[in-house]
Amino acid sequence: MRLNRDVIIEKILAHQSSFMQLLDHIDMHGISLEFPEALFLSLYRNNICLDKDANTQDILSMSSLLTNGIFISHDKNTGMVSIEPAIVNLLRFLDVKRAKKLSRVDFENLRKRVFTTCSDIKNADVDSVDFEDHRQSLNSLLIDIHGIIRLNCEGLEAQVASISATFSDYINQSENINVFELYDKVMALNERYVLPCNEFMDPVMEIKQSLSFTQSVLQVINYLKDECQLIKEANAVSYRLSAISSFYKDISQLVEKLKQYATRLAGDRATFMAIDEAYNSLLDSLTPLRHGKKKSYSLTPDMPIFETYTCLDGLAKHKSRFSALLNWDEQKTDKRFKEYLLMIERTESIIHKTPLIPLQYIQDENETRQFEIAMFMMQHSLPNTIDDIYQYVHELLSAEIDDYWLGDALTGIQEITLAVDDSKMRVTRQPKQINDGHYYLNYQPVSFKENINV
Amino acid sequence: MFDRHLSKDIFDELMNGKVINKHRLNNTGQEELDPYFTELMENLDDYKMQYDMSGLELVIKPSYALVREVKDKSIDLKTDISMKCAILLMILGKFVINGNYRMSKLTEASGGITVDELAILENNDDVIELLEKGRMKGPLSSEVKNTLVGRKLLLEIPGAQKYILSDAGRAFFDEVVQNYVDSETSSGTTL
Repeated sequence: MRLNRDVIIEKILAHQSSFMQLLDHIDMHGISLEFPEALFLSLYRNNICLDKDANTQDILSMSSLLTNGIFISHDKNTGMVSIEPAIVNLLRFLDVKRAKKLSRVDFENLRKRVFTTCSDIKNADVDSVDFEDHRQSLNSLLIDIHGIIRLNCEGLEAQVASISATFSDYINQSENINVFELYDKVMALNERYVLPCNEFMDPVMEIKQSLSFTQSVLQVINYLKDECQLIKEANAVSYRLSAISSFYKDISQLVEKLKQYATRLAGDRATFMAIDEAYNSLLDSLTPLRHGKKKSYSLTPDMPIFETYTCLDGLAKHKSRFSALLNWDEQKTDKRFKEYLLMIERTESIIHKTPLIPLQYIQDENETRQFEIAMFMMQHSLPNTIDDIYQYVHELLSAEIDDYWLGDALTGIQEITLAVDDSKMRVTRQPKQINDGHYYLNYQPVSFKENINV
Repeated sequence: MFDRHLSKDIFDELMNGKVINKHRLNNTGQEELDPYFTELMENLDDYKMQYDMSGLELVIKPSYALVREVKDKSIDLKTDISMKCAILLMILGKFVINGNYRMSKLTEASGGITVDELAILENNDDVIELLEKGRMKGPLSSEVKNTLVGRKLLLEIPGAQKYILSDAGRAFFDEVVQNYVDSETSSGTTL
């Protein structure tokens, strides 16, 4: 059934959300404008058929869209359906987020076209028709580029705004955002689309053996002004260039913003990769311990996996180790004995070596005194008769010795009694006493009756 | 001049195998300077001598301090406690990655890992095996409480049943990242 296209487009606009999903599929899976038949049928069944207007089902059916050129082809073998580029552009125009982002290749093609056209202008005769055609071609090209850049910038701004919202959620600890995916998304958007656009309009960009977009156009402007004296035409080109270059600042801001996100995310990403690798290494270190035996199945601190973690080295409860030694119970356990042996081993044996002194003759003062008294008594001539030997010796020695005491008398008496015959001595029963003022001695007097030499 | 009351408390902390962090959390969960750390830094020579004379080493790092025995070989400094701490901290780090959180989940008072989240982690097969192989018999939550919170590698946010890394805990992850950067640099890989 042939239909006017405005009727179909009106229905497409009414169901643009479904067709936008076709566009998303195209953007996600490549540059050819194709999508699976099943995807369209699913959207048709779940969305389009629910329309209250019964005609909608017929107008937007697969056969109707194919018949009226909205869908260009339907490959039964691959199940893929291709869509008219004008419809795609219309959808992109409706939703700037889905605007086609220009890649580095797209911008390079634009630059080459501008460079070629500018060269053609400079090479053509100013009064020739070709010159005018090339000049018009440049104008037309600059108008196209202006539109493309504007649309591209709007699309990129929308994309960056979407990433900004995601980044904000990430900063606010949203659980649904993976730092690795977000980082890749930021880097891809920046490097594939934003940076090429920025470089395309960069006024100081240098290209080897060629000219940048801005340089090409500026040269033509100067050529038109200086060489051709076409001031009005030169100004027209200059206005176009200014209009295009006005987006440079916007794109530069996007580049800066994405760089900030990337820097922040790169730090987190590196941290996460480090922790992930450390954790995986820890899990790997468990593998040799899964042997099912009863020994050596646990992790130990001296394993290589813990070698590089040094900041907590030596952390231990030191008090417990000492209290175990000090708080022994009274029971006799082998632990105490072992500790005793350890203590003995640790203790340096200290031998107290007292210096030996050579044995010296120690002269006894008493002995010397007794010896001198004995010698004195032997040299002394005793009388033939002594009535009281005790009294006699006492008086004799007390007169002879300065520091006399009663003990000296006993020594003297012992010498006399050893020297004289016992039969010549008589003991009297009547006791007597002698004293030296400090000690006293009670004795039974002994008399001697013969004069002899001792 | 050192503070006699603080020095006794510091001794108890260090000898019980706890670290002393530069910062602690006040009653409102905000970070503030820990007076123990300030006392150590202001009388560093005295405190170093105190532990030197007891055959120990007072280790002062920029953001935390601990006491350890003096050993000739670095391998002899590896203790059961340091091993268990490393295992538990890595489990928490992996939780942050898998949950698509930022590290601020573990470092900022606005974040914090909750007791409920620890309870969920307890059912993870890898976590169960790591605890078993690390000779930790209790469930993860009690091991975290006893080993990490007890030794001040994690700080409990008052009244919130949530934990965040202390200065020493952060130093551990800094070391993990530095090891990774060093290994990547030596292998010539660009991050």
